[in-house]
Amino acid sequence: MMAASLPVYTRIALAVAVGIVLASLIGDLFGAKTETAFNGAIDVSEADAALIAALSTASSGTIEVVVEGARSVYYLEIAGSPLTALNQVTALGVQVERQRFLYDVRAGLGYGDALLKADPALLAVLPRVSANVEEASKYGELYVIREPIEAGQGLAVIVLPADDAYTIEYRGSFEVSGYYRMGFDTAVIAAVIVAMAGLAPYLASRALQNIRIVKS
Amino acid sequence: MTNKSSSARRLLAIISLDLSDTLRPPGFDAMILLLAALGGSLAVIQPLTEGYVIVFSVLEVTIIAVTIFLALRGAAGITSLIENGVMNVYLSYPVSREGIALALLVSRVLVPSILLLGAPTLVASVILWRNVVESLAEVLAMYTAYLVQASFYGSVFALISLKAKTPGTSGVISVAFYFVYNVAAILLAQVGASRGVEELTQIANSMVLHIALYNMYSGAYNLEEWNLAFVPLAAGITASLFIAYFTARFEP
Repeated sequence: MMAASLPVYTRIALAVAVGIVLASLIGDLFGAKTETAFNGAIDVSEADAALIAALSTASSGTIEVVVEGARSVYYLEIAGSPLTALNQVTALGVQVERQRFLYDVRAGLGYGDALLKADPALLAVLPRVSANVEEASKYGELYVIREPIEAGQGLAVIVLPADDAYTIEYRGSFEVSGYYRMGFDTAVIAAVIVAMAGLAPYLASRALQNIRIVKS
Repeated sequence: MTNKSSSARRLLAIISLDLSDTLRPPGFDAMILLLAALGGSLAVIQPLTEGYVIVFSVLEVTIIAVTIFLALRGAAGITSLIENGVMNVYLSYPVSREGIALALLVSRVLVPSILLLGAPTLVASVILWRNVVESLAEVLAMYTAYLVQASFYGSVFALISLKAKTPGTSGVISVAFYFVYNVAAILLAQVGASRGVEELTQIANSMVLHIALYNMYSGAYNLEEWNLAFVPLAAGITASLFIAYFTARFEP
């Protein structure tokens, strides 16, 4: 009955106010996190190379991948959805097999690994035949790639295993940059302002009506 | 000049009268409350930093609910107006048939779409205000894309409502159209990708404006101008067809 008598702008403002409080509460309880880590080990005994991929679906930030047990490591930036991004790797002339893909929703990061089948001669010269492919820097026995990315972009890391290596081990991290979310307390204040903005014209018009009735 | 302004006033009166039916509680209130609260919540479960991703996360699911609302409350309501005789009251106003048809498109399609898509976008914009301000142009462009897409669906539904005999039939056929249209876009994309037919992929990418715009911002596809023009053009054509058919059907 109450809702039926309220004007539409007031009902919308109240809905938005409730939405702000609820969304902020959900954000505080189960909301986004601004950093995440992942790791894995790939059995490369039957593969020519391994692929490690990480793709940010929601935010810009910095991805870091550290690889151990490699002879050479190349990487390229990929873009798009997790389903279409690997097309940019297969376009290099390699075949992707046994993919394993996981998704960290709260960090907005998809990541995974796969085995690669390709002509070893092609793999050895990838950075020279493709302008998009770059060589990773080596620090001791580790290869480290650290790249800033935008939302919808990611990294595909191609790992050529060392001659005596049967397993490639890797660990990665993603740190979101430039993310800001209003805290619950501030959201409650914002919700009250929105609700009052919606109620004020309605209450004012009701008050004026009452004054007119009293005067007459 | 006076005639024009009084005609515009009467048109606004019809829009206002019809809006009170389209936006009547408790159906509309429940819808906008749920969309604002749950749609807005979709913006906080991931660290969204780019404007176009914020709107995409919030409205990609919301547009399904908005479309169903437009089919069941918006367009099916036009069939109800005809069925229960209220349309005759509208037609008795000294306003052109084209004017009444346009008023119905505004009150049954445009305004509900603006409000239902706007409420969760506003919630997300308040909570993520800093990121929204930094990429305001992207946010507005994506919101407009969803609005145009919803208006296209709504115009088709309105056209269906003029042909349907009952509101139920109108609603069911409208929802069926929405389903078929989206499945067709997915199938075209799949066939295009698997057979390597670029034209099919391009048509599929154009059929959903907000996806096309998202792909443009994310750099996933190289879009051509017609990819972005397809849905606005289709919306304009279906709205014109609705006005023409309405005018012909209710000829004085």
